[in-house]
Amino acid sequence: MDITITVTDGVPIYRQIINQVKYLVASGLLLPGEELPAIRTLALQLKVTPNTIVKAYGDLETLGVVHKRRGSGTFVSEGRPQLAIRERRRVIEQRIDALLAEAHQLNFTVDDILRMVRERKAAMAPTDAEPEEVEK
Amino acid sequence: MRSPSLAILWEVWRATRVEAAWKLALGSGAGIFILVLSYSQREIVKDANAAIALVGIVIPHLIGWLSMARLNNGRAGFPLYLHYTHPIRTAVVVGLPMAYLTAVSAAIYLVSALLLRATSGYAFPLLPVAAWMAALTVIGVAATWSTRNRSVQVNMMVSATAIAYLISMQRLTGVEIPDNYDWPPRLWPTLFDWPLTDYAVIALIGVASFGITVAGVARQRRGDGWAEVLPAQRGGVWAWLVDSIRVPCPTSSATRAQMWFDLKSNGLPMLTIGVALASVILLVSAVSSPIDAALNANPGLHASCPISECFYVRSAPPLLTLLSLFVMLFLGRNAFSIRSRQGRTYIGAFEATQPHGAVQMAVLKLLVRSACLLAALIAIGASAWLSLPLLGDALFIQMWGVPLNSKSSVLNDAVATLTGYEQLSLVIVMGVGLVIWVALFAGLGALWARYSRRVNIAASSLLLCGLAFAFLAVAQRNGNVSAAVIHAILVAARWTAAAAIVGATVYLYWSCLAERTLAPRYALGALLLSGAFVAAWMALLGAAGVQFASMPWTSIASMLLWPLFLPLFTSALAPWSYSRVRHT
Amino acid sequence: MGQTVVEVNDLSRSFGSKRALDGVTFHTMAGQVYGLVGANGAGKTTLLKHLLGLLRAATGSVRVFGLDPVRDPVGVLGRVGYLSEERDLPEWMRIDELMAYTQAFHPTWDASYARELIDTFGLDPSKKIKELSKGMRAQAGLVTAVAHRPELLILDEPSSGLDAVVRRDILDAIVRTVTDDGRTVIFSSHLLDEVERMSDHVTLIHQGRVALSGVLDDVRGSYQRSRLHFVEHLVQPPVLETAMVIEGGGRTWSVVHSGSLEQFRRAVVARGGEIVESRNATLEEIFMARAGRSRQVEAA
Repeated sequence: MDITITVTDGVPIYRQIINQVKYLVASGLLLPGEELPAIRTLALQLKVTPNTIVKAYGDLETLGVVHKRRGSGTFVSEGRPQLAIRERRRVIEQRIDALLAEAHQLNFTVDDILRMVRERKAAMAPTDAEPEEVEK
Repeated sequence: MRSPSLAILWEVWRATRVEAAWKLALGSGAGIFILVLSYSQREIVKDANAAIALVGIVIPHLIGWLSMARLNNGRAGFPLYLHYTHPIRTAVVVGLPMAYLTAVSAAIYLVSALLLRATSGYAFPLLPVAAWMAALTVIGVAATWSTRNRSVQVNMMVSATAIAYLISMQRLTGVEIPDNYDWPPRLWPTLFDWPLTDYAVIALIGVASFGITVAGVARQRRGDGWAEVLPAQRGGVWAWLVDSIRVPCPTSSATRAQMWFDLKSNGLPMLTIGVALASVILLVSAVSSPIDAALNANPGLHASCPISECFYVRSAPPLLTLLSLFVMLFLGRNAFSIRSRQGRTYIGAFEATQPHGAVQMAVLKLLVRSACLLAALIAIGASAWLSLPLLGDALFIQMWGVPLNSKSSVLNDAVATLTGYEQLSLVIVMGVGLVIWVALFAGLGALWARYSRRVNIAASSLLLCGLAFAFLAVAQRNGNVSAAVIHAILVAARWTAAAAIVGATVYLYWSCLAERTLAPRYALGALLLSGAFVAAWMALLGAAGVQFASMPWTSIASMLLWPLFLPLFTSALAPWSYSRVRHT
Repeated sequence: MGQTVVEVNDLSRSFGSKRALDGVTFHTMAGQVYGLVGANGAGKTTLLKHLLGLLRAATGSVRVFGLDPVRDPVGVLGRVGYLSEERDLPEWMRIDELMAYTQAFHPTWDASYARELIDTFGLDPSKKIKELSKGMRAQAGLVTAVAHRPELLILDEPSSGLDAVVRRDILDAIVRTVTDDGRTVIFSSHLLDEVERMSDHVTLIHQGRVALSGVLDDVRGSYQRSRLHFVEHLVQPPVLETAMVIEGGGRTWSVVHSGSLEQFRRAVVARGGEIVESRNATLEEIFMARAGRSRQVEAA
């Protein structure tokens, strides 16, 4: 499992693991039913304390991204992760807040930003299907 | 510091000032003490004691400068190596310390000799011997500094000492004095009036040593030579001995593993050295008679020998025996393996964190060390015993005018007349006595390691008291102080010492039992052992002719106080001080 | 889990006139990793030596597994693995002899695990300790510390002076010890990123006192680093209540502050600025704020 941890940007390590696992599942790099590495293995690989991995896996299970099968390990949940709307909104809202702050610094208005978003999307290869409209 | 030379001299002074003070104090202190002890004895004993005092002020200069060696962690090689990277010539950085150390050694000797002259009135030799002390110091310094190879250093020192010994023997036994000691003080002015060529020789020795040392240090500075040998191959005789004991470590119990550890790292190498020394004594004795006979038959040499049969090599074995005893006792001193680094004294973290009780560890180390030391001493004693007949009847101690060989048979008969019980007592006293010796050394060493300032204060106060008493005795001899005062002081001192040891024993045991370091059954065992020791001591005294039945109980008590309390005190001191060092 | 392994209460210790520890209280639970950080000479090694009974508690109490390490060295040290800062090992012993010797003292020694570790590290069992390099000595010491599966592993500056390979071995040993149920690790280190990754709890010791102690994420959450932007050009650093370290110059300043973000935002706004960006502080920033000398960098 390809995860990297950094200690320089202030985000707690377990949170980084959770975010990256969610990203891997959402982008299809981790398939449903696939087994996540054992706690000890991942701890050795990332060089972090195992209790962090335990916490991350626990939170991922609470969120429904993974589930633990007794005795055998941790597996990705079947089906698209039913992340709560609030969760998903929160991730994007964080990005939007950072974007808005940068924009303000560089003297762009909100309309400028919205225009640029559509321009960038049009420039990207139109292969990704749009997900269904999410209720606001 | 205005110049590099002053800086170097200051550095050497700072490093050696304590040792210089101790050499002066101990040398002259011991000398004065011995002289004072014998002031009321007959002439021949006074002469012998004067000679012993002379030897006493010479010995501190034979061991070299330990504080300089400690700069280099006791290894051979130039100790002021931090100067290699300074802009200073090798000749200067070698020459100045060498000159300083030589001058200070000679000065210490001169001051001690003058002190002894003043207190005893004997004509202690000044300049000639001081010059030879300087020569020995400079050779010792050259041997230690010019090479990092420990065996070269030891060989140089041993050859220099042997040559010095032969020369001094030849010079001092030059005059035959009937029924008196070989070199009585009244003859010292003539005996020590050595020719001026001596000074030339000494100067030559100085220059040669300086040259050799500068060459050797220059090599070390450039990084050439033996210094480049890997640490694994360097290590000397001791490391080789430790290596050659190839016994696997037992894993069945912690006690056995610890015994293996102590035996392999300390006990067995020490025992091997003892056995080697014993063999050397035997060997030298075996060849000494023929060599001496050949030398005596040589008319050229024999002309300078005043008596019918001079001793050349034959005088060596008894001295070697004495030397071996000292070496063994020295090697057995640090039973607790207390290390010293940059002034810090401690027990290494590895040994201190093994899951083993402090008392068990201490007792185990002491027993292993004592057993090996006992075996080594027995080997040396047996070898000395066997060598006596080989030396022939001519060897005798002039003070008693009795041949050594017959003395040995007297000893034999004396031991044979002892009953079985008394022989057992002798064994007990010797065995337990040795354990007490090792334990005292180790315990006091641990005490000094942990509470060094307090021990230093106590030791120097004791030394001062001793010196004050010696001067009082001198004053009494000169009639300034009455004998009654001296007697009163002596009695008071004796009672203080007795009270001190009883009090210390009680305090240590109370402290250990309160902290649960010792179990009560340990105290019981120590008490039984002390009881056995006292009983054996009494038996030996009885065999020597002391009549206990006719003595008042007070004198019996004072005679038996020390044999009873010394083992008890030691049995409390050793675990207490070890525990204090381990759990600082 | 949840059982107290180490309990240090109000421990004080002086060496001569220097106060090495001053009223230190330190508790550890089983199954967690505890990181000890602090400046040189702050008292970390002194605290660890008290846990092993190498130092006697002058005031206060020290209990490991409920026992006093000075009174009961066998009971405590038999269940503890220790790697000292100087990697103190007997120079004359060979590695296989060292393993046999340590095995005799610990009945729980796992010989196959020891052999596996020696193979992994690439150590030659017949070599003497004095022939080993610094890293190999640390590896040999580590094997003796972990091969008997201790309930408590104490590492004093385990990574000091070691290359990345040996450092990874040591981190691996920490991970393995913790994942075996109920085992605790206490380690002191200068490498703050290592402490940040490997600790569950962190304790900062400064001049003999515990400056802060707690779960690592909580500690980091209580300190933030914010970038501020002011309207006017400031010559002196702005005075802000909860700020601990202020760097920067002119209009842009970077602040490490404790307490709530809202309160800080109000203070900044009152001063005429705004927070551009804010994140949790890293352990190094917290360390410099609590234990470093204060640096206020003036604008050029």
